[in-house]
Amino acid sequence: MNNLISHSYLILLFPLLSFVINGLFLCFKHRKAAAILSTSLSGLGAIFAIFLVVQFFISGAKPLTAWEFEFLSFSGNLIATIGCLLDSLSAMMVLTVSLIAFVVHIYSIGYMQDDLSSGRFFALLSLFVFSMLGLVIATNIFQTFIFWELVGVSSYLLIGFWYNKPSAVAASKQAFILTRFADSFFLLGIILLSYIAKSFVFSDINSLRLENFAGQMISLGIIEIPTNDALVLSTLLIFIGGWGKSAMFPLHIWLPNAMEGPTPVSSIIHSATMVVAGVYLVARLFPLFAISGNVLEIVMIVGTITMLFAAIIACTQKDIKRILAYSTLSQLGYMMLALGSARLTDGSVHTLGYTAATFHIFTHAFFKCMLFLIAGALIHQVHTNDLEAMGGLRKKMPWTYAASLIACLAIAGIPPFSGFYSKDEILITAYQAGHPIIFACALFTSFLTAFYMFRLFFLAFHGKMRSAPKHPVHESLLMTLPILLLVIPTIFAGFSFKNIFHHFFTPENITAISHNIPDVSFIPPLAICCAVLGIIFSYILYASPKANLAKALDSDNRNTFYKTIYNKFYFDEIYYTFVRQFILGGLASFARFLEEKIIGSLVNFFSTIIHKAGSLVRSAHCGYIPFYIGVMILGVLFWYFASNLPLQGA
Amino acid sequence: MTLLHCLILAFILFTIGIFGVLTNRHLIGMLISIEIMLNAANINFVAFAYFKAQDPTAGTLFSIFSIAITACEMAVALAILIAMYRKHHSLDVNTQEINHE
Amino acid sequence: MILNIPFSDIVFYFVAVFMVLLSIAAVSSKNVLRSAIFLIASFLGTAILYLLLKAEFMAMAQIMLYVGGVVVFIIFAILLTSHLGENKLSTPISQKFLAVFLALTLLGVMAKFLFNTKELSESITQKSPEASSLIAYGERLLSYAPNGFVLPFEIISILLFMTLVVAITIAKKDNKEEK
Repeated sequence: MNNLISHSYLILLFPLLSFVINGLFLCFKHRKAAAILSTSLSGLGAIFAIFLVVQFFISGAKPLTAWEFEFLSFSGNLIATIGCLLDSLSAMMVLTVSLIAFVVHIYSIGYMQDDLSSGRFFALLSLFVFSMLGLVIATNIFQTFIFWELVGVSSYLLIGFWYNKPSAVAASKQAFILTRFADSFFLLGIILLSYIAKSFVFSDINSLRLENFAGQMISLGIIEIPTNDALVLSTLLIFIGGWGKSAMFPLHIWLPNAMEGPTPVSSIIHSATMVVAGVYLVARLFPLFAISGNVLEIVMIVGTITMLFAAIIACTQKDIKRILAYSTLSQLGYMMLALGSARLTDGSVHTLGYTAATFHIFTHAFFKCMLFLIAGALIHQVHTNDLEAMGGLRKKMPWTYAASLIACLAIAGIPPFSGFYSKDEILITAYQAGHPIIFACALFTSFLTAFYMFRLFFLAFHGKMRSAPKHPVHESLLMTLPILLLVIPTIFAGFSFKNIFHHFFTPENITAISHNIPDVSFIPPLAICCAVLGIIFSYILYASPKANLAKALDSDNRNTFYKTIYNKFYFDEIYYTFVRQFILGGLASFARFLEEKIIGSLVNFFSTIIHKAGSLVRSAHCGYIPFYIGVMILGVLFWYFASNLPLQGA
Repeated sequence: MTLLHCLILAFILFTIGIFGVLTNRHLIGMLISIEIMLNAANINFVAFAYFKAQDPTAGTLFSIFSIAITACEMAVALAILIAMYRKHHSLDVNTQEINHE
Repeated sequence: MILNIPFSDIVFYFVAVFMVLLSIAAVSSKNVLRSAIFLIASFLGTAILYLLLKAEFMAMAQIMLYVGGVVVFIIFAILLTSHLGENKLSTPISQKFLAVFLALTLLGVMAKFLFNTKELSESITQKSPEASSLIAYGERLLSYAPNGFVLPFEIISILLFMTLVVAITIAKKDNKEEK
């Protein structure tokens, strides 16, 4: 019975093997072989993951460490290990990541077949999947951090995959630097936390209790603060890591810009890897967050702002991938909101938020991946990202049309598709938490979600073609098949997994308190109403026979409010100015002054001294043999006279 | 003729050799000077063997070995010299001038 | 007084002066070929000195190896490498003075040691036994006894062989260079 679990190292082995073989041997000359190898290995990985997870849940979903080895011992309990922790959360993530990876691999064969460097693409994609799998099965926070950084670097490589496109290079740098900025806080948090907990292991960290530290002080170099405060501080620092990785407001700007990468990369970044890592981290450390003061409230507020903010921007964008990117931001905001609103007004912690967030990770992964694949298919046919140039593709791409209808219904939250169930849970959580404003925001975002998704849907598929395509539009099998594969989980992941999530997905060390739960039966119909309203609204604006598309799509002759939204609240510009004025003009020039004038001149001074001394010695090495012999004889004489000097007075 | 006289002769020859090495710029000239120095050392050996040693054979044999090694050294030195001449067309030991060519 | 001086002593002093003069000539001659000839003469004087010191075998070896071998080597090398109208390599006079100063200082230091050693100035000469015959050398060279020289002898033979190979390798024309 344990045979599969004892072989769980295969989870990591398949993508790693694919990365190594592709990267070393097949990358340049054998593009087809690289694609086939990579895809088949990820297929094997997906099959293995399905069996492993099924067996794991059948055997009761007891958290266990499948394997673990130590590679760095700091002191005592502080041992860095690489291991595989299987619990319901990581099993769910392994399943999601493996399945999405497989589908994206198949899709990439079709999408990248004209690209000469697709061998490199498949190698990097495997590395990306490997890093994410290593991240989700981490047994300790140190391993998490290692794979976290690997995810960062592989996303950097993939976003900048078309490295001769300046915008792609800029986007990859932006993504890397922004997430790295957040990661530095994450690392600080890990250091502080491991210093307090004396361990890296999740189970130790999650069983910390504030009462145990009551009255203790901890010395942070120069200042001493109570250990409890330090624990809260470390939790906050760790959350900042997830904040950057999950692109929460205001560190969100890298995610829409990351659209410069190939579409399969966007698809996998947005669905299963990378951005959900932040949410995953919060979920993984949920018991720690639950005891750490008001950190959960911060999580909730950040989630809410991101959710609403991104949804508003998404309503005005014209770039199909950007709309999806902002929709991802919005959905991530939902997840954070769900995690953050686990604390009830009476101070007790309720676990429904945790369940809802993990459930939404699961369902969102499938339909968001599918939406991106659809967007990629459209772009591949129409050769533009711009919605203004699309339209009327319904007849030419019937399968894609049907699939995207399902995906849009799912993300809008219409039953029986999967998005409805998880979003419903989140709304219930928000309502239970007792923050009416936040509940209203979530409901409004649900309306906006339906609106902008169907705006995209109507603009792309309905109406007339607004531009003449260069090539005849058709659906290629390799790109349509993965989309259709994803229809299955998009339809069924909701109602069939709901009970599994309710049964298994409760965080450790937290006892669910279920008293005093308000009546929530009115929420599902309300959510459906909002969604339907959104769909109708967008139909009127963009698809009905009377709709004035030219006016709806016009972005120039609008009022200031619309323009502000259309320009993403000028956040790119704010960042640009900030970086330009403050970082480049202030800090960087100061550092440059320090480097060039002070450190540089010091180094130059020493090097000049050494250079002078060297040329002094070098003049002795003139290559003139009589000189050498003469010096040798002088040495002998010196030795004689020196030994006869009356130094001792003898 | 005493040991002292022999040694003084050897030392004078040795000094002449040193002077030659220090002043000669021609490689072969330097080799000749070195030969004179080695010869002085041999004279020392033989003189000690004759005047002081209980076992004169050993002392003399040492100079035999020294002569043999000198022969080897000369052979190699002259081979190097010829190779160098072929390359630089000069036997001036002042290599700075050779490098400047 | 003069009659008291033995004949061998007269020969010794004569040869000594002769050798010093010849060596100075060999070292300071501008013409390398001429200095090689002076060297031969100096070596011949050394051979006479060896005869006076009752080392007949050494004298023979000196003539055969040095005069017959090494100096002929040198002369070959000179003839192989010199142009007819080659510029004389001159040394600056300051360097010569410096060299004289250094050499004389060294000589002074060595002489100081020499005259401070009592045993050397005693003119007691211990007459050598008949050990310096050719047979004695041969037996000593090839003997395995604790004071025998068979091992250095073998090493010298290997060294000679190596020298042969090395000299040929270094001096032969490089194929690449010709191209």
